This record gives sequence, C-alpha cells and structure tokens, in this order.
Amino acid sequence: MVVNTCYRFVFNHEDAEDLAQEVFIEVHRSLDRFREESKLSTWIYRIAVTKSLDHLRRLKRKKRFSSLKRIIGVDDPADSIPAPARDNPADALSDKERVAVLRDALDALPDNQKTAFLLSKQDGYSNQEIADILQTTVPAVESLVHRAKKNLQSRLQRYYESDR
Amino acid sequence: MKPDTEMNRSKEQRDAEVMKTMSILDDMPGIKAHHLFRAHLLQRIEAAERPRAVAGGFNPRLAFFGLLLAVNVGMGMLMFTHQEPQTMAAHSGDTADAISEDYGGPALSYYDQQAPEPQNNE
Repeated sequence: MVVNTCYRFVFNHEDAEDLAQEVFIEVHRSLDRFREESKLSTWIYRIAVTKSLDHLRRLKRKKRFSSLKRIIGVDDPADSIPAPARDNPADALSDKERVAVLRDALDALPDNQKTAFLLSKQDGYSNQEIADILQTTVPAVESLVHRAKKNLQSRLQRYYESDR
Repeated sequence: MKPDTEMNRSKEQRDAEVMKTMSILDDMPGIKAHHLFRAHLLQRIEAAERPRAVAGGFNPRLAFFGLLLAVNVGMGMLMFTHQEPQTMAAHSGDTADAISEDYGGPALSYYDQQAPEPQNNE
C-alpha cells in the first residue's frame, strides 16, 4: 500500500520503492515520537505523502536540466509507466504522451489538492482517512478533490485546445 | 450552422481526450514491491543504525574531560621531571654542608687547637 501510494505520486516503480524504503526507515527512526494521536497507518501514509511530495519538488527543481538528461540518456520518470499494450504504435505513442500531459497537469496543482485527488483515486482510502492524513476535515477533502478535478480538467482542455 | 457543428465536434473530441487522459489514473495498475524489498530495507536500516551506534558510544563531554585530564597529568609529569634534578642538587648541597659542618664542628676543634705551633726561637 505504501509503495502504491508513492507510485501514484511519482509515476515510477523504482522511485516508488525507494521512497517506500525511506518511509519505513523514517518510521523505524521516529517510532518513539509517534504520539498515537492518529492511527499508525495514517501516520505512515502521512510520511509517505510528505516524502513523495518532497521527491516531486526535487524533480521540479531538476526539470531545468531535463534537456541535458535527455541528451545523456537518463529516462524521464513518465517513460516507465506501463502504457496499456497496443497493437498500433501510434496509439502507444499517444498513451505515453497522455501520461506526460497528465503528469504536467498534476504537477501544476497545489500540494493539498494533488494529495487529496491522488489518494481519492487510490483504492483503500476513505475520505475520512484522507482527511486524517491531511489533518483536515472530510468536507475540506471533498472540496479539495472537487477543485483538483476542475483544475485538472481545465488544464487538460486548454492543452488539447492549443494542440489542435 | 456548419461552423457550429464543427466547433461542437472539436469540443467533443477535446472532452474525449480529457476524459481519456483523466482515466489513466483510474486504470493505473497497482504495483507489487520487489521480492527483495524487505531484505534491502533491513540492510538500509542496519546501515543507518551503525553510525548511530558508534555515535551513541561516543560522548563528547566525556572525551573533553578525558582530554583535560590527560593534559593535566601531562603537565604534572613535565613539572615533576623538571623539578627532580633541582632537588638532587639541593640534596647534594645539604650533604656537602653536613660534611663541612662535621669537620668544622666543635668535636674536631680540639685537634686544631692542639696542633704544634711552629717554633721561632732560633
């Protein structure tokens, strides 16, 4: 579950596993500081979300070097997302492009909207759990998810309009 | 009418693209952690623990006091080794004084007085 949570944020299997390991190391290190104000799982997922967001921020900072990375052959994390198997290469290409577009749109969202939206898309998280992870209320989570969806839709609409 | 229909169609196409893109998150498959995930994790925890254990045995305060003690002992030793020749000299001086006192003491003064005086009669 922790690996999958990280995967939702970073869209890359290896990065997600690395992050999950960091999460468990952090849990092991600071278990004595766990104050039992929330469930242990909620505390662990909060660490996972924080680590994932930190990772995305680091990636964003490195984005200016992305062209250089492409030259030296380092893969873009979006490339590792398994695109559904397609017989038609054009379809496979469009899937890859779609993933990159979605990642960009998600990156542009504020952290709390992104977190609420991505966790709501993952099985196993109730709104109450998301609220606990974000240390907010259920109505606030619902509002965050709604706004995130709207923002994403409008960003994607703008992208596909300009694409034509 | 025709441009409207075209616009509607492009809007529909755009919305379909948006829907398809958004559905990626819904269709995203769950992933399974590598079978060595746990082993790697334990290795990393052990590696992280090791420097902490070393650091846990090291007390900088205690080390500082140890250093101060060593410096003090060293200084004391240095002073002791520098003072020792002086005390030896002092001891030898005392012995010499004692000897001269022995020979110049009242016990021997009798012999000094009894010594024959040179005769100048001739």
